[in-house]
Amino acid sequence: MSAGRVHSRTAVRLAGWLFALLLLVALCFAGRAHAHAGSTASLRLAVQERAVDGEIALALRDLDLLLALDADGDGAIRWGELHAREVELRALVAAGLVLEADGAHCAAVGAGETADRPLAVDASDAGTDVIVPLAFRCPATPHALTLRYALLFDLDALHRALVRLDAHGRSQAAVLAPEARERRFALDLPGPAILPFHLIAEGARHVFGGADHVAFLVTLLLPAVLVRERRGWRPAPRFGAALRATLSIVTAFTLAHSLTLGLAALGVVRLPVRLVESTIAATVALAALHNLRAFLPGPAAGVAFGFGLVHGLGFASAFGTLELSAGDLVPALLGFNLGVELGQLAIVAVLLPLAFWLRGSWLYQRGVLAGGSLAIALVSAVWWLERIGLA
Amino acid sequence: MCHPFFLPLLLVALAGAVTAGAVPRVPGDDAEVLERVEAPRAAYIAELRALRLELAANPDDAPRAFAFVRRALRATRTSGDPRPLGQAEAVLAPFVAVPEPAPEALVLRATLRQGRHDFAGARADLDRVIALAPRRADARLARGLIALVEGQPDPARQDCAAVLALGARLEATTCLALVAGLTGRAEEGRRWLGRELAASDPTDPETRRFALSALAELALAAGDALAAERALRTALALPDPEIALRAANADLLLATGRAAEVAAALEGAEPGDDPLRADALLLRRFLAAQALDEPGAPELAARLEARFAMLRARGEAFHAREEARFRLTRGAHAEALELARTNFAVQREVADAALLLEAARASGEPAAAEPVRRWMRETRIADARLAALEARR
Repeated sequence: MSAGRVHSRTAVRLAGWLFALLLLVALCFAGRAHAHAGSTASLRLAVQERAVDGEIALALRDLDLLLALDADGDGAIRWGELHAREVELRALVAAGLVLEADGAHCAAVGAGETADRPLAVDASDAGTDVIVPLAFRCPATPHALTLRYALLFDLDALHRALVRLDAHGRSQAAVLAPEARERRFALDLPGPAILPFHLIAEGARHVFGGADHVAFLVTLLLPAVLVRERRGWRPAPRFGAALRATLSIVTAFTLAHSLTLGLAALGVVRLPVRLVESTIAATVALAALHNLRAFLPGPAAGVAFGFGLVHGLGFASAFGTLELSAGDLVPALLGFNLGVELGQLAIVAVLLPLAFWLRGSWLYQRGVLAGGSLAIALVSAVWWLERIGLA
Repeated sequence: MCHPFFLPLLLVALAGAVTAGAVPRVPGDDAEVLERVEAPRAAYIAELRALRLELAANPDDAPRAFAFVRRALRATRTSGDPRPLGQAEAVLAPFVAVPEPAPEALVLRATLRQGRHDFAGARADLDRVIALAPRRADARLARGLIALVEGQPDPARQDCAAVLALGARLEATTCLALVAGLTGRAEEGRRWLGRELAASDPTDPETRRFALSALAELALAAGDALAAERALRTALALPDPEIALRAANADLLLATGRAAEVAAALEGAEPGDDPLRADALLLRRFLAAQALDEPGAPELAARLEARFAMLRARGEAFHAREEARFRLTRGAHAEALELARTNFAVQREVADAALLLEAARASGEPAAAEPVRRWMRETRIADARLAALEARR
């Protein structure tokens, strides 16, 4: 999977929505004159190694100042009149827009080579824009890109260029004005040592946000302060034993869900969300029933591992909604997973001492463990029915 | 209103979104009109174009350049189109970049700066002109009016008295009457101005419109909506009324519960003129639509949202008054309060004060309007509109 493909797929989806939105706008404004807006160019650039591609949208009214486009003087600028001046227009744009990669000039690829990307027009409430495709080739992959823009400032002191630069999955914006014609964009990504804190928060939020993960963890941890006997339970003798049992369960769960989260996020495993979500509900129900009457094979840590594989796929679908690009994926994955672990740890920190303290009581063994497991089994059965579409 | 086929077509568009057609298109027909640069869209575009061509042939010709700037200023005032202002600034730039700019160049730059609410910059230019040419009544008047917009009666009175001494009677009286209004003597101001208007030569429509709109403002300060309406109607009947005047007229209709008349009142005299191009008029049209619960109100609101978003993206802050009013009617009280506060720090006309009072009350933060109350105490302004707002508190 390449960054380019992710990018272009997102771009296509975005373009589709924009298309719908513009049609909506166009229908509402059909027959309307344009808004009075200050002269604004909008410039979009995307950096892909040595290549910088993009486009600039310029108002026809502004280009008319530069090129006197209304050749026949009938008060209307026609497509033919614009088209006839295309070479001049592209040369003008190339002269007014300079890119430097770490101080070295990036060559503007001439009109001949971008002929496969023709001029286009775009009408909106603010007037009709001409969209001029842009293509630059830099001598080396830039660490920093300097943009110098001077297209219309000498003709309109209130002209502004709104710039959006995409590089390595990150967008940067700038407004260029007569007194700020130059802008330097730092492109290097922060190293993987710096963890994305918002993603850590996102991971933790996912643990607490989805009741199914909390329910699953609680179901696994409730019996950890007890020792299963042929009929019923007895309290774990020491806190150390309960802690060891808890740690083995949490570690197994963590290993399993990290594994599947990683595989799914990297695109190795891909399962339908509905299947994953309904299976997660089923694992919660099964784990809860197992507390009431043991029927699953192997130790508790084994159960945690097996079911944890499914939960990892669930974390992956939440992670997938964050719309990250391939470049950010590994640090993001680490951050998100760390958030999930911190969320779990918080649950353990609250639950374990409380459970250990109460473990000998009838209330804990009958009420919390049996009653709680029964309740969780019922609730998760309902989730399961909902998620397979039966309720 | 949206097109009747809006919904089916929207569905088609959404379906199209899946296969994703490109937004910008490449026209197929050479004769397709992309943009109009002349009437019926707007006569001023063609006029400015012709002036620019003349100027291109004679780039050092100061009088031509100044004529372009004056035409551009008038175009923006009467159309609400900000583009001519930017072009004028660019045309003027070489004439103010010299060590000793001509007074005329500085007066024009001050006017342009005032247009984008750079009051400090405008005042600096006017200070220079007045030091060089103390007898320029236009510079004194402009500086006095800036002081008025900033809610400072004392410097305004000094400049306007100087204008009177220089012989521009109607301009000076208008300015002094506004100063009187700002200091709790609106009735006196109305009497002076009414007398001066009756006595003055009616040939200069721009000055008369200025005087008449001031008279309307003073009438409103005194709570006399009928007289205000009379003055505004007379002013609007003069050729080429400014957008601000048309907006003030709409505001009066809105304030007196006649929202239904706003749409018709906003229609321009020229057939090709769409009043809703101008942000200020689009806002009034929306306020009327909202007051009447018209089905088109959400669409007008969406258009305003888009325009405010564009202004913000461009980094322009001088729409705060309009946006605060918009947010207030949309129920976004905290945002409205912030904007009204920012706005009142820059300009302090009655409308700005009223806006901050209202926003503070709506967001349950009466203390936020303290700057207004301090200003009211300092100027001793007695204004019916502000008094009504304070009485509701």
